[in-house]
Amino acid sequence: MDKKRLDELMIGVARGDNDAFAELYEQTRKGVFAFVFGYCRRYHEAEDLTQTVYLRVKAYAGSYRKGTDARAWIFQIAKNAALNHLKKAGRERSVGGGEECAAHAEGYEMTGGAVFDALNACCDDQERKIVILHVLWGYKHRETAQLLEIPLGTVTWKYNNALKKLRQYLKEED
Amino acid sequence: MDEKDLKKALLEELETIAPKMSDKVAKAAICTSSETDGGFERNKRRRSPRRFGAKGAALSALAAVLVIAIVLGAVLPPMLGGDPTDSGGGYLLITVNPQIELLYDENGVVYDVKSGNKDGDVMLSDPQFRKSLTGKSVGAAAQAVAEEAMALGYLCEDEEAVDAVKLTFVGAASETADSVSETLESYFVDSGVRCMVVLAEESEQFLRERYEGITGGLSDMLAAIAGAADEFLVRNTDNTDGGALTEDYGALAAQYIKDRIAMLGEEIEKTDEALTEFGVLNAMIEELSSDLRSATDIIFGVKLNYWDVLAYTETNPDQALGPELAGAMEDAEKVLEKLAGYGCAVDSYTAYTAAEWAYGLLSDGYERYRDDITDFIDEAGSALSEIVGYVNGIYSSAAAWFEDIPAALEQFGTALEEIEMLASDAISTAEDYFESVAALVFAEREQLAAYAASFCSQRMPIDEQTYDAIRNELTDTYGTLENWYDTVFGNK
Repeated sequence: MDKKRLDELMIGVARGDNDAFAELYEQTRKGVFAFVFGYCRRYHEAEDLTQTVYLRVKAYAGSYRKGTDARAWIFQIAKNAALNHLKKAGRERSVGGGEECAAHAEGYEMTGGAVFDALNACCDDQERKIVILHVLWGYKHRETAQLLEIPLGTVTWKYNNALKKLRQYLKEED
Repeated sequence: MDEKDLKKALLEELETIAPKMSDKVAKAAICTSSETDGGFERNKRRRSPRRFGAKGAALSALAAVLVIAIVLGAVLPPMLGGDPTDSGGGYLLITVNPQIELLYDENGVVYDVKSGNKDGDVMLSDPQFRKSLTGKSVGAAAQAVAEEAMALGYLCEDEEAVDAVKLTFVGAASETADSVSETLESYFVDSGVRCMVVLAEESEQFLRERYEGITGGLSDMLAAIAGAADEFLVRNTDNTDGGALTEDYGALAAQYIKDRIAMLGEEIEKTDEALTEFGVLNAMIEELSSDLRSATDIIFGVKLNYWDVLAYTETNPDQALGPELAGAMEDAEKVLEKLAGYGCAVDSYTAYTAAEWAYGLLSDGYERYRDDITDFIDEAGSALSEIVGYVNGIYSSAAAWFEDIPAALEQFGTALEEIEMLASDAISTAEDYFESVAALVFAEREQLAAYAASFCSQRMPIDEQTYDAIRNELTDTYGTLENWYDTVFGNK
């Protein structure tokens, strides 16, 4: 994602420009989908959740301020939507509200993408997020460390570890 | 597959996997700000309702709360006098000061309208309005009720007031609740009313447990608690600027509690009103804690205890509330104490400095090691590239010299693989070495974190001050917390 371009697009969206929104969607959908997929682990749920994120982007576009980091803004919407989905799923499964999503116990649904499926299969949650944030969202490791609130060294180490796991997993699958 | 290839493959895969824009998203309207900063401030206030469920004479002085409960399927609150429907239709409860019930069939069309209270009687006394609601879709009917509530002045446009629309949805497809909430949200945005639509979903069993045998004011209190919980979730969801609430928590809580006591103090006579106030306090706690990561557990602890209190009062109506409610109040105090600890974050220069020092030390440490690792890998990678380039050069030269080119290439290919393996092993060895270094830094981090924690514990005196300020406001009229409790809830 091009951070500067996203900021420009978001300003346009805030003014009601649907073309800007369409381009914003194209630029960010991969990152949003990959991120929320980790919370629901099912393609159709992730698909619905992705659309929910963009409905919220449209709904809250009026509150976007010029100068705000659009990428971070969209990421926060995606994260909150995913957490809300998780909480809702947990409430539906146990009266009184636990936050465990039963889907977590069942593993990820395959999507057909070899590397994406490998990422979900062999990496832990933090490694997955770090790879997604770096590769799909374009965050530098330092920025990822701030986003996830973990030390920079942890991000670097886990990123490299994730790549190693991916290579190994894909090699074994071959 | 190297890093570059993995990245490229991931991007290409997700180009196909990630969903295209749906029609629903494409057609959804963009909510723009009418002005720049003013628009943002207005939107922010729109999502900060301050009260739920207040009742009786005090309501006129407060922002109205429009609560729309959509109850579908077999479960209907007995208190509302409705019979469960088996036809797949539903029941829509709208509560402002007027409480309106809309019954609708399986197609989502309203076929009957009832009033739930005196203000509802007022609203439905207009036969034309009443008639106009039947035959409408649930969403359109809900909007019509909201419009009428505005026209009658139940939805306040006071600068300081914020209105909330709560949708409680039970046991049916979420599509209906989503469409109704979207309809109302769009309506309120377009009409300029400061309103927030909160969508909540309840399981059938949970609603049944909640509403069975509950009447009158307690139902309002329950709505207040439910609304507070939903508000908490929505605020977490809407926290699009990363938790940028900047209010002074202590002052906000203190002022709110003071206002409530001043307004209701001697007027609290009934158990349900007292519980309503406790529910409102609960809502306040949730509002204050809306940007705390651990808030969910805190709130849950208080609310679960609160449900115990509620159950106790229902089964023991003649007994004093004292011990049970006191227990619940103690929990609320603990919440306030914890909130005070979070809320007055970095007033302590020492703690802040220590935390910064610790973080800086860790960052520097990681920075140093990270650079070493990265440099080594870069160098090793460069060396490997050079080796590959060198061998490729040999390839090119040798190819012209050897008659049996395939054999020659195979020979060089083997040599190249061996070189690559040697280089890879060297890189792996180095990575392992630096991994152990990273582990050492991790160990150091634990110790440093312990140092930071001990510094941070010095914040407690300041936290206690804020907490005491809240307690003082709470007990200002009565002298002690115990007197306040006894006067408000117990023996008078």
